[in-house]
Amino acid sequence: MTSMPATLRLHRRRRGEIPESLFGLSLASPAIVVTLALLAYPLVYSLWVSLHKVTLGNDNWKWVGLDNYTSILRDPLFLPSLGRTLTFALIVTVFTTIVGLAVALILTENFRGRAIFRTLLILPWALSQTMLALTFGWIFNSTFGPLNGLLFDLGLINEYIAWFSSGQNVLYIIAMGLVWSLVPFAALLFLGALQTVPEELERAARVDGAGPIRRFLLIKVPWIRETLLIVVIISALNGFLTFSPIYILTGGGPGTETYLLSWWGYRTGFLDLDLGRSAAIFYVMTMLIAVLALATVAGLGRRRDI
Amino acid sequence: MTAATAIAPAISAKSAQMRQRRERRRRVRKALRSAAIILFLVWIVAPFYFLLLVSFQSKADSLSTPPNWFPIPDFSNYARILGRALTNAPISGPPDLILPGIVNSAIVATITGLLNVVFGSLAGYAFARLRFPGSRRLPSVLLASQMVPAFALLVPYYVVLRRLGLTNTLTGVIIAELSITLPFTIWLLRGYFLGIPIALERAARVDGCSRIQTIYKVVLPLARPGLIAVSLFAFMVAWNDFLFAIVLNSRTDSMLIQPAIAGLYNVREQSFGIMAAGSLLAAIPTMLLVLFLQRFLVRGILSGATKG
Repeated sequence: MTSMPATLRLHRRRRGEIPESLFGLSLASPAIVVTLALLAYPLVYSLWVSLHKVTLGNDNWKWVGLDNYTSILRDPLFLPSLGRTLTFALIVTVFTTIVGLAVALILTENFRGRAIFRTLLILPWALSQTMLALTFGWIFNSTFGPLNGLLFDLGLINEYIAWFSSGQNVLYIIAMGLVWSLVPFAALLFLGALQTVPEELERAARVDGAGPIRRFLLIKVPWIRETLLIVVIISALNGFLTFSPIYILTGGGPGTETYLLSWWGYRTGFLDLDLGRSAAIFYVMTMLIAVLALATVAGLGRRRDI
Repeated sequence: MTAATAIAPAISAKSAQMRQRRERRRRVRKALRSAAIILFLVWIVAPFYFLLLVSFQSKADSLSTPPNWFPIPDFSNYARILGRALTNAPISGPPDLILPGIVNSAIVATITGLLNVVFGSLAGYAFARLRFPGSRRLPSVLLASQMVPAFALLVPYYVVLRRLGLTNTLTGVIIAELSITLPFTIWLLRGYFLGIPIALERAARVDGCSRIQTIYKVVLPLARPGLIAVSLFAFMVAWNDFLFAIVLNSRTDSMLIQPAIAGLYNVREQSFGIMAAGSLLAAIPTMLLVLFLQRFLVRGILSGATKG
């Protein structure tokens, strides 16, 4: 904000020019209009839909008030799906953060092949969740998947393991795939932040007798707190919103064992054709994200004082 | 003086011992580090290796247990996917949708990227350099809007686009992709413009450039790396998106690449080779992009997030 006075002079109005505020608005307005029309309006409209009984493919809307919301909250699928979604997001967040930090710490050191390591590291980021689902579905396929074959050939197992035997296992495997694809991104963010830790601070701590672990916890972690917050939020969001692996690998099954909120909402709207209820589920999801994000920002932000 | 000379040998012996111990500890540390590096490399590369492996195997080879780790190269999977382009035969199964999917997604993603640059650069510049009603508060609203999940927009987009006759068209998907990419683009570019020295613009103004001239003769050329990066970033988001692609556009003749790939997953048919080949083909553009973009994206996301 220090540049503001200079900015004002930069675009001071000249003869024949429109006022600065008008000029700024005219530059920004296409984007503002697009954002309003494509983001704000649909959000409001979604609320409107969620207050109706709307069947996909039928234009007759029936006002039902908050019925969709009360029926969702009472639905026996709601709490299990919510719990699963939260656990899934938590697992993804914790592992992405820890592994990402570990990789970043390794990358701060000099070793032969560092450049190659860094380049290879980024590749998983390129795969979409769809490709991720296919890849991990194939690797863990119990009969033809390479993982069982590899473990068997190495003599680590005597018979093939049915990796997809329960819904919970499938979710763990999907979470692992997601961590695999998020770690590069987390590691590079952490690396960038770790490289800004002042050397004097580290040296001073070393002189004071702090070992590597305490130096890491007491100096590096607080220093990269903002990056930590970003990584936590981004990986939690990715976990919370995981959808295509469920769509492709399980369809929510066996039974309803792999229902995440995203899948439940999609299924309700686009397979059971109940758009109003689907909009309500997605609205509840959005609210949950808002609450969780605020809580995370408040929680991690508070550490500043310690 | 004499006391000091008497102690000195003892000290040096002790320090030699300590040095030795430190040396040993360093070697252990180095070995541990190497082990960790190798472990991470295997963990990163193994899925790609498995994919490549099975994509270059004949179906019979891919179903052998235990697997062949070094196969006789076989191109039948790629031939099956790419073959239709030459013969122009009618679509006869999910593999035939990969190439049209790539073309459709390339159109959607490219237009999304271009629109992001056009809208995003103007707005990003305005938010970085100009003062107007909302110029201070709107950027943080844009950032907060990143928390709105695409799911929240799914039902309204479906209803409205259907009413407008835009479901199952590429236009409809482009509109949806724009909504999830543009706010972030504006935010990133605002950060980028803030990083450009203002003196250059002032010099241009002093030399008699109009505001518009200043922007397109001075600012935009300087911001070219940023503009390229945000467009590629938006390209990647649109290319990899599955949700809008499958809900807003489910017909086979306008199908996008991610649903097309999802259609390859069929455990019963055991066509793992084709599945892997399709995934790898569809991942080529994004893999090139991340290799090209990595430095910028990390810097961009960080600057976007910290430059309040």
